[in-house]
This record gives sequence, structure tokens and C-alpha cells, in this order.
Amino acid sequence: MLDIQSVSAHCDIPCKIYDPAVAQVAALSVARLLDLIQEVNLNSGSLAANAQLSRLVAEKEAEARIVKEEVMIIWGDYFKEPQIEKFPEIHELVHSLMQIASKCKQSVDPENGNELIKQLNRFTEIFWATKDVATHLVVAPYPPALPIIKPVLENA
Amino acid sequence: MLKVLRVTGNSMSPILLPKDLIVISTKCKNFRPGEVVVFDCKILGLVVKRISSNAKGVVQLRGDNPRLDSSVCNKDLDIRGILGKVIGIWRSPFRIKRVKRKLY
Repeated sequence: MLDIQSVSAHCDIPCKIYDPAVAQVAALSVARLLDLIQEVNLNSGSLAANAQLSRLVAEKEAEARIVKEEVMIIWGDYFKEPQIEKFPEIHELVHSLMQIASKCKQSVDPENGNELIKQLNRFTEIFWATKDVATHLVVAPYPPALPIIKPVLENA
Repeated sequence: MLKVLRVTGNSMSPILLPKDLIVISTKCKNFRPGEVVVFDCKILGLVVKRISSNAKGVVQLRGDNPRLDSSVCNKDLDIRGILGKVIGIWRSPFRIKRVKRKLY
């Protein structure tokens, strides 16, 4: 009986579609939710205010988790030796991003949201630099209108 | 020495398709960028890829299909892991397929 061994044209990264944009939208949402949490008037003691606060906190948790997941996927799957050699700061930056995203989950300080955006901007900048795509800083066209890094996709 | 292997996966498409049979030469020890080789990866088993670079006993591999990527690609690998060079492909114009029993 003829027994032919198999050889794999192996592929474990099927789409190659990586973009920090998802993490950016989630991070902006975290910053926005932190602002909204500050605006909830709990002094009224109303059930509606309590319900609104619960909802905002829950959403903040979910969005911060998305930031962490999206950054981890890009860092773990996309960044390989050539990219890491070019930007050796990436490991420290991602660790710092995980920490600040956790802080956003743990607290309601809006400053943490700003810091999250700032660090994610650097991550985004590095990501596009590894692809030789130029970036620019633009103000997000929705609240909290924070500056975010976007790729310059003139021919897109 | 020649060895025949059956291809699985699409990352070398269009040159290699699933179920293609490839003939490799295990005698060849000089590998150049652009050549298709079979690499013995400890975690994944035998993997067929194209050499993208080769310097000082270290090779990097890549697939031909730009839509797919693999964790064995674009990283430094010990050239001694290469089992052989692909020297021939056989793609059958017909395949014998067993008809399975199907209940309605």
C-alpha cells in the first residue's frame, strides 16, 4: 500500500487584516464614557441616575476590554522579528497599554482615558510605520474630540 | 534521494494546491532565495514554503499566497531544518473519490 506523507502549506493567519482603528474607536469610547460618568447626577438619588451609571460603567468595561484584545492581537500576531527589531519599544508600550486600559476599568478618572488614547496613538504610529504608511494627527470628529493618529491613505 | 509528499493547505497557491503531490530532493544542501523547500518544523511538522532569504545558516520562509500568512514565515530558521528542495509537482487531472453512504 502506498503511504504518502503530508506536507503542509501552512497558514495560521488567514486574513492578514490588522488595523488599530478598532482599538482606537474603543479607546475613544472609554474616554467618552469616563466623561459621561462624571456627568451623572447621583445626588438626585433617582433610580434612573443609578441605572444610567451602571450602564455607563458596564460599557466602559466592555470597551476597555476591546482595546486590550485588539492591541494584543496585533502585537501577538502581526508583530514579528523584523517589526520588533525596528521598534524594540513595542513590548514595553503594549505592557503599558494593558496597564492603562486596566486603570480605565478600575477607576473613573478621565485622565486615564486621555493617557490611553495617547499611548494607543504611539502604538498606531508604530504599526503604520512598520508598513511604511505615513500617519498624521487628526482630531476625532466626535466627542471627546481627542487627537488620534490616522494613516494617510491617499490612494485608498 | 527523492521523496514524495502530498500537499495540504493553500498558502503556496497557485503553484501548489491541496492534494498536489510534490517530489523533493533530500540530497540538495545548497538553498537559494526563491526556491521552494520542505521545512521540518518541530511544532507544525513538515511545511512547504519558499525561501525569502538565506544568510549564514539562517533562512526565512514565505508563502506564495499573499492572502495568507504563517507563524513559520518571516522569522529566522536554522537552515538544517530544511528537509529538501521541491523539484517536481504532480497534479492529477482526475481523482478517485469514494462515494459515501447517505441516508435520507
